Amino acid sequence: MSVLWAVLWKDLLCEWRSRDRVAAMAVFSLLVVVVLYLAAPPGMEDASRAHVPGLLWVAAIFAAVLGLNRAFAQELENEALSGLALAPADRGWIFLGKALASFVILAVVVAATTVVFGLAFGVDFRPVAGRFAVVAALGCAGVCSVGTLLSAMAVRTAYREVMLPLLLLPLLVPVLLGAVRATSLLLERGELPGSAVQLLLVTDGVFLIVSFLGFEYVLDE
Amino acid sequence: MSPADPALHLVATSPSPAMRSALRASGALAAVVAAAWALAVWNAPVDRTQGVIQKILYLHVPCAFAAYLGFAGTALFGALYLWRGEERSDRLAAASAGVGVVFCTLVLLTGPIWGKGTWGRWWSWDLRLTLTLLLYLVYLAYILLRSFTEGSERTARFAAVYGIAGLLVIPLNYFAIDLAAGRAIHPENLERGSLGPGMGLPFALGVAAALAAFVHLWLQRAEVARLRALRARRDAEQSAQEFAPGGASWDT
Amino acid sequence: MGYLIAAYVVGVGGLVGYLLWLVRERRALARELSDAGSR
Repeated sequence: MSVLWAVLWKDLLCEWRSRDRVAAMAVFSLLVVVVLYLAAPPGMEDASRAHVPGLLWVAAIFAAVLGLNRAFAQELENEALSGLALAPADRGWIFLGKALASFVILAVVVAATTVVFGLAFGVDFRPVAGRFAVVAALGCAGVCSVGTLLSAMAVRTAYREVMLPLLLLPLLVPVLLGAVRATSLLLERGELPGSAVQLLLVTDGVFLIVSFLGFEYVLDE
Repeated sequence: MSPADPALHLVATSPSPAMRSALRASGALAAVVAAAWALAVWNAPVDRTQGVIQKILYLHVPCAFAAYLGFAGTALFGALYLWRGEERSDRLAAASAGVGVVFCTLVLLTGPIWGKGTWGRWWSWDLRLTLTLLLYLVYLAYILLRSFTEGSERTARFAAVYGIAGLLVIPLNYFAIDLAAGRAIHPENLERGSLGPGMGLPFALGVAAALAAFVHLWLQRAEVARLRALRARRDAEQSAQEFAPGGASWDT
Repeated sequence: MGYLIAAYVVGVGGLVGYLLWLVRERRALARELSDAGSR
């Protein structure tokens, strides 16, 4: 269990010192917002705003992929992957530490992205800010859990950076659909939609368990 | 200089006796059931609403059955591999995916053909078709993962984990799509309704034929996997030899 | 009617084609392996 905090602390500390991952993700998110705005500018009527939650979550997922690709980069570059694999600890805790670190970083980026998105697309998140935070947390948790597992795999394949989105996106469909639906219903009605949140909770649960257990077989030297 | 008795190689290249009988039996069974199915389809009554094109479903639905079965097999044998560590389990998992993806392709081809013929549209984002498309994407990702991972033992492990994750995502996707789109105008109701008198048999035989075909193709594919593994091992042995001191010279 | 035929050609043809490919692949691999053994 202390391994979890050790890994989490180490990752966040390194990130805090260099801030390269969060900076890259944030800049990338901003670019995606701008590109999406130019490609699909929202009109005046509500109907054309219907796609906004979808676009927001697409931007979030792109940023997440960018960040997750870097999740094991430090270990890879410093040839510390074996060190991690040989650590006399239950690998599940290493996984949780890594996933939590990615989660924190992604959450920060998603929060910033949401603000910019709201401004660009004229959607006011303020009245539902707290509830949206719940939705965002559930979405990011889903992405970071299975994303960390797959990142550890991808780092061992040819075409490393391309493998991660290739493996991740097909599995992220329930998270994406759940988060988008929850966000749009939330904006529409001001209340957390039960079924969407339920889907996200179940998906997160499944992903966390599978990733926690599966990490054992995925982290190798 | 050659690694082993050449006769041994010859033995290894043919399937084991058990496999050989399994191949023969499954092949014969598939042929017989397929013939029965073809006959049943030919004699099946023509649907009142959709016309003769409804008969595509006697092919489309069994293929879908096999496609989903294939992925269940992939995950199952993957799990077995993680549990027992037997190479054979991994080969069976790979074979399951290989055959399953073929059936899945056929589902995604016959479905739109039927759709175009009945509804005039090649595609609709209804629940079942979308779910199968998503399954297809997971299949493709699984196959790519296998191709691009280095090391056969690592490939087996990674593929097993991904296969299990991919299987668990299927029910999640079902609810997700349902949530996002609600029940669209899928001819699901019509499909069920159109199981009129005389249509049960071709459907049942179709599913049986798909199952039998799946098993036979799966065994064939597993043999291919076994031979490929042998070849990979032989290549590894040979290149190890070439670098051994006093080993073969470059122009052997 | 054309759609019906197209679907069955694609479906049955696809499966038979795959079977043929698998059999061919097996033969090729077996030949390759036994050639190497007798070298």
